[in-house]
Amino acid sequence: MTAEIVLQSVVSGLMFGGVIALVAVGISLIWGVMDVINFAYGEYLMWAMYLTFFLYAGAGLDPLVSVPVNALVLFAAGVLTYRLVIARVMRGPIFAQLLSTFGLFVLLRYAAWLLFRPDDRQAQSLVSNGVVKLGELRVSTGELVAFVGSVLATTALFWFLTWTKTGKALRAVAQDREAALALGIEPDRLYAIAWGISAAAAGVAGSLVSSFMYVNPLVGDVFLLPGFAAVALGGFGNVYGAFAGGLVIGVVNVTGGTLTMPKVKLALVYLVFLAVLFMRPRGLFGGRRQ
Amino acid sequence: MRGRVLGLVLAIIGVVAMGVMSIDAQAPKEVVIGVIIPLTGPAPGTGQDCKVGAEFAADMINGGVKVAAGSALLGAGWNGIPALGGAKLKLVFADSQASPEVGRAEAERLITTVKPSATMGAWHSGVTVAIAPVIERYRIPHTTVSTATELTQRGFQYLFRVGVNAHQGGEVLFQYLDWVARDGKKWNKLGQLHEDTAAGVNFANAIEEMAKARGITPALRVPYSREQANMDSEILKLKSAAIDVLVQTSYTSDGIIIRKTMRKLDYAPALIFSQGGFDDDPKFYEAMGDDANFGSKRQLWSPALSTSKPILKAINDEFRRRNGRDMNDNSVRYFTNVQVIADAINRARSAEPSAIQKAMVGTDLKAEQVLLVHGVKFDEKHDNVLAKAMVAQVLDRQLKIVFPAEAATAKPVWPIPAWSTR
Amino acid sequence: MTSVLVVDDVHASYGRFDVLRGISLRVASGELVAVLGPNGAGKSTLLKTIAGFLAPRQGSITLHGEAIGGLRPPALLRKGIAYVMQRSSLFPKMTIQENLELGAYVRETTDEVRTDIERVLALFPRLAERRRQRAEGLSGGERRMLEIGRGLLLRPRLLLLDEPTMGLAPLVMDLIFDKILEVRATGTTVVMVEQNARRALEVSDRAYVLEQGQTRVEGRGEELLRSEAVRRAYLGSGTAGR
Repeated sequence: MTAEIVLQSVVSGLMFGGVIALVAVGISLIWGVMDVINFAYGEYLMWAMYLTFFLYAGAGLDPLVSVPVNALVLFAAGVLTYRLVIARVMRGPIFAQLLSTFGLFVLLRYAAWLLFRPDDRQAQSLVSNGVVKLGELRVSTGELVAFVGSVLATTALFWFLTWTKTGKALRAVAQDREAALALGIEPDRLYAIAWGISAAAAGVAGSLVSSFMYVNPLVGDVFLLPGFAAVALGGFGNVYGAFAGGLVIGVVNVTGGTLTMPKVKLALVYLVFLAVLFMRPRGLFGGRRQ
Repeated sequence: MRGRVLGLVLAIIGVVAMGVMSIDAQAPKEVVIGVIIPLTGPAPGTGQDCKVGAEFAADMINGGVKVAAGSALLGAGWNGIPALGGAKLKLVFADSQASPEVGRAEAERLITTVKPSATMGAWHSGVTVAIAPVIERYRIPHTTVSTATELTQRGFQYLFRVGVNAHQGGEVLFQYLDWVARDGKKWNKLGQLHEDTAAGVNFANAIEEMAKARGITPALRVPYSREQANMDSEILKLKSAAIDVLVQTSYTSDGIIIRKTMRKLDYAPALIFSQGGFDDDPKFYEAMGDDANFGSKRQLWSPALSTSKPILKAINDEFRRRNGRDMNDNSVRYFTNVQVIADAINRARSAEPSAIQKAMVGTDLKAEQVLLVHGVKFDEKHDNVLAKAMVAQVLDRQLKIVFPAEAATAKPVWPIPAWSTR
Repeated sequence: MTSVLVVDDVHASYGRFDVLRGISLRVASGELVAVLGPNGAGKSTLLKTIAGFLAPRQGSITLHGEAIGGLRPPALLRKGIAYVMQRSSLFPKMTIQENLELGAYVRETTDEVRTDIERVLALFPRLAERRRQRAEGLSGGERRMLEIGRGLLLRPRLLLLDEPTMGLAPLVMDLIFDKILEVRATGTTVVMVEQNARRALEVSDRAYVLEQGQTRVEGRGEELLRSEAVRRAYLGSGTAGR
C-alpha cells in the first residue's frame, strides 16, 4: 500500500463524493426547510437516469446535453410531488410524512420495474471513455465531468440561496416559519420551490452519472445511503455541511475500502452514519438549519 | 354360468381397451421442456444466447437442421423423438431476470402450469441453487451448466450437471500455469476478484482449494457486490498487492466497469482468468472494443475444433446464418442440455418425468455426439465425469483457444501488455 | 384626526377557549396607543387577530375604513400592517442586513428599499455598525431594535408591537421606548402591548386596559397614570415581567 495508491484512492473518492455531495445537498434542502425526509430521493435520480437514457437511445442526445432538460423536468416533478402528496401530509402527524415519501419510493421503483426491463442500460457520452491524468493520478473523464458538474450545480444552488430574494425567503422559512409568514412570505409556495430544486438536483446528478453508470430500477440504492450519511455528517438541514459531508463520504467509501477490504466499503459508510448519529447528532458542522 | 362367461368377456374387452388406450397415452404429439434463463436483467445477451442455442438443438431434433444429417451428433437425423413416434420437442421459456427469487417463482409457475417432462437452467449459479429444491420437490429431471459446487453436494436426485463444475473449470487454470511455466513465464502472486453470489464464491473457493493443494498460497481475495458504480478500491487493492495472476468472476456490467477501471488505474496483471460470464457476452466486446483483448477464460467450445469434429463448422455456419453470430459457450452448452434431455427421453421411451430421470442417470454420450469438447456421463452425484475445459484468450477481439496445444488455434500472449502500449 | 384602525366588538377563540369577548378600540393616525392588562387578558391575542394570525369569530376590524377581519398575514402586510411578535422572530443565521431586506419582502426590490434600509440603520446606529453580523449574535436590546427596524421596512401604516421591552434591562428598556417615540415621530401609527404599564402610559398618547378579553378602561396616557383606580389595580407591581 504505497502513498501513491492511497492518494489515488482519495482522488477517486472525491470524484465519487462530488456526486454524493450533490445528492446530499438535495436531501438536505428539504430536510432543512421543512423537516421532511425524502426516502424516495434515489428514485428520482434513477428516473432522471432513465430519462437521460431514453433521450440518448431515441434522439441521440449526449447525457451531458440532457442535464438542463433533466433539471427542468425533475423540477416540475418535484413541484408536482409537493402539491399532490407532501402538502397534504404536512398537516398530519410526522409518521404520515415519513410513510408518504417511503410510499413514493416504492411507487417510483416498481413503476420503473414494470415499465422498463430490469436490464442494465447505459447511455454513451463523448466523455464516457477517456482518462485524464493529473500527474500520476488518474480519473476517468466521465467522473471528472460529473464532479465538476456537481460542484457547479451546488455552487449555483448556494448562490441562489445566498443572493436571490427567493433564496433568502427559503432560508427564512427554514429558520422560522411563523416569522416568515409574518413578513408576507408564503411557506407553501416556497416549499414547492424547494421540492422542485431538490428534485432538479437529483436530475442533474442523474444526467451526470449516466455517462459512466448503468441504469436499472435499483440504481437509486447506490446513492441513497451515502447521501443520508453525508447529510448526517454535515448536520441535518445544513446544505453547506451536506456538500462537505458528501465529499467525506466519498473518500470514506473508496479510501476506506482500499485500506481495509473493498467489500466493506458500504459498511464503513453505515458505520460513519451511525457514529455521527450517536456521538455528534448535530453533525460535524453543527448548527441546525441554514 | 352365463354370468361368469359374460363377466370374463367384459373383462377381456376391458383389458384390451385399456391396452389400446394406454398405447395412445404413451405416444404424445409433443414433449414439453421448460427452460429457465435470464432473458432480462443485467445480462440479457447471455440469456438470448442460451435461448437460441436451445432452440437450435430442438429444431435439429425435430428434423429442421439438414446440415446435421449424417453426423454423429445425437439427434442429427431425427424427426422428433423416435421412441415416441416422432413426438416433437417443445421448449417453453421462463425469465429468471437473474434473480434467485424471481427464478424460483418462475420455475414453480412453469412446472405447475405447463407440466414439462424435463427442465433446464438457470445459467446463474445463484438462481440454479434457488430453483433446485423446487425441481426436486416436483421431481422434474433437470439439466444445468451452472458451476456452483453445492448443486451436486446436496443429494438432489433430479438435477444433472452437464458442464464443468467449479473444480473441473478451475483445474485447467493450473494446468495452463504449469504449461506456461515450462515456457519460462514467471509469476508471483495469485489473487481473485469475484462477484459475491454463488457463482463467484463457489469458483473462488474451488480455486483456493486447488491452489493450496498445489502449494500455492492465494495472496488476496476481493469479493464485490455487483450493485455499485465504483470499482476503484477493488482495483487499487489488487494493484497494491501486485497481483499478477488474477482469477475473475464477473457478469457483463460489472465486467465492463472493472475492465475500464483497470485501464484508468493502469493495472494490467500478467493473466486474467475468468470462468466465463462477461467475456461470453457480445455486449462486453461491443462496449470494450480493443480493451477486451488479452483476457483469458475457461472455454468449453470452439468452432475451430472442426479439424477434429468437422460437423462443428457446418453447425456453426448454419447457426450464424440463422442468428447473425457464431455459437459461443452459452449457446453450445444449452444446445447440449437439450441433447442430453432428448437422449434420456428417447431411451426412457416415455415423456414421464420419473422415467426420464432414471434414463438420464445412465447417460453415456461420447464427445462426438455433442458440441462440447467432452462427452456426458454422470457420477453418483450427477456431476459430469467427462467434463473438462480449455483456455481461450481474447485476441483481436475474438476468443481463440490457446490451451491445450492440440486444440489451440493461437499462441497465448503472456504477460498482458501494459496499457500504455495499447 | 382620521382613524387608522377600528376594532369593533371583536370575539376570537383558540379552539374552545374564548379569549377575546367583545373588544373595541380605535387608533388615530400618528398615535402611539398602549394596550395594557394582566396576563391572560388577551393583549397578545388582540394583536395576533389584527395581524391576521387568528380570525375573529365575531365583530369587525377596519383599516382606513376597509374591512380586514379574517385576512391572512401576507394580505395584511400588503395593506401596511407590520407585526412584531412577542417572541424573538429574527432569522438567526441571517445577517442584520438580510433580516432587514426580508422586512421589505412584499415590496418591489427597488432603490426605495435600499434607502429605507439606510434610514432604519440611521435610526439604530448600533445595528448599522454590525450590519453584516448574524442576528443570533445580537444582545436582547439589539434584537428588539432589529425586529422593530425590520417592521419599519414595510413603510407600515400601522406598527403592532407585542411586548417590545419584555426581558430587557431597565436602561435598555428606556432605549427601546425612546426609539419607539422616534418611530412615532416619523408619522408611523403604533399600537404597543406592554407589561410595563407605568412606562407605557408615560410615553403613549392613549391607552386601553384589557381584562378577561374585554376593554375595561380607556383614556389618555397622563389621565390613566393619575387615576387612583388604575394605579391600584394595575400599577401596584408596575414592573412586572422582569
